Parts: sequence; C-alpha cells; structure tokens
Amino acid sequence: MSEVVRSSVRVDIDPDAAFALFTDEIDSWWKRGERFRFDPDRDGRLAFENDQLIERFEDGDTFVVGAVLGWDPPSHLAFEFRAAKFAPGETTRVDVTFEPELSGTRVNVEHSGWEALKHRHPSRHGLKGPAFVHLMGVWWADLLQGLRPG
Amino acid sequence: MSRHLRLLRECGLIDDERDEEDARVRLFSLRRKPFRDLGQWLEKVEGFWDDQLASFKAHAERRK
Repeated sequence: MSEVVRSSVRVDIDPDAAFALFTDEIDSWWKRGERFRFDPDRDGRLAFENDQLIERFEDGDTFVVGAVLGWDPPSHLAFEFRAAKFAPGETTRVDVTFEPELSGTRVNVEHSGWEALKHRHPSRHGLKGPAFVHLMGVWWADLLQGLRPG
Repeated sequence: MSRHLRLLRECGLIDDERDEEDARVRLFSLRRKPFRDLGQWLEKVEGFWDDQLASFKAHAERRK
C-alpha cells in the first residue's frame, strides 16, 4: 500500500520546450517562500546540476533536494525529493511526465515513496509549511508500512 | 487479525471497548481525527504541487 500524490497542468508549448523550461529554468518558476523552498528562513537558487537537484544559498551553503533518477527528454523526468526535516538517507520520489496533446503538453507530477520513511507522529505544534506536511507524510508512511501483511 | 487490530489501536486509529457482561466481546470503532488528518495531509501535498504547476504554466506562458 502506498500513497501517491498527483497533480497535472496543461501548457501551450510542445514537450521539448516544456521539458527544457521545467529543468533549465526551475529556479524561475519554482515558487518561493517557506512553503515551497527548502530552508524556512531564506530562498536560494534551485538548479539541476551534476545529476542532482540543488538549492544554493548566497553564503555558499547548499541543500541537496535529491539525485536525478531519470532524465529522458522530452517525456520523463524523475528525481529524489527530500525536505529539510528528513533524516539522512530518507527520501521520496517525484516523477514528471510530459505528454503531447493536440496543441501543447500535459505535465503530470506523481510524488511517491512516502512508505520508505520512518518516523514518529509529528506534533503540529511549532511546525508549519513543508515541515508539517512532510512529517505528516512520514508518519502515515510508517503506519502504512506497518499494515502490510507480513 | 488481532495483530492488525492491535496495531490500529496503538496507532490511534481505532478505539476498543470491552463488554462488561461478556469478557469475550470487544467492540472496535474508528476514530475520525486521524483520518481527517490524513485527508488534510493529502490536500496539502496536492496543493503544494498544484501551486507549483500553476506557477510553471504561468512561466511557460510568459516565455511564449
């Protein structure tokens, strides 16, 4: 049993252009602020570099969101996705597919892999934005893992 | 079955009550709050990606 979060959008450009914009210009469109970026106190610059998705900050610090798991332009991209509160080695997976439509492209995101993470139930107290969202995911993943027949 | 019920109880997903007159009988009931929490979590993660893709669409339209 596994939770998968899905979202999709249609854009008026072809899959080649959509894949290129999604990857090359990720820092331009990935929303800013504590709900979306990986450090609650500051925004850095997001980029796919050396087979990783990385946020670089002005002081030289970096946060590795995750490794690129698949790079198949213009149809498919996959990468690991870690939030700042994840323990070392813990990660989830994001798959992005680019499907041609009559005029344009459908971009689909599937965020999966929550069941690989193990943590205790987080308290909502003192947590907001991605920290709470991701820790809740971790807790549910742990629970679902425990319910597997075995 | 009893192992799964115990796990569900330990996770706070169900309550159980014993029948005062018959010790063999246990009544299990679902607790609503954790399921509400799961729904809220799914909505938040979906909302995260809905907002990101809306931003991507706006960016693509600006670049046309």
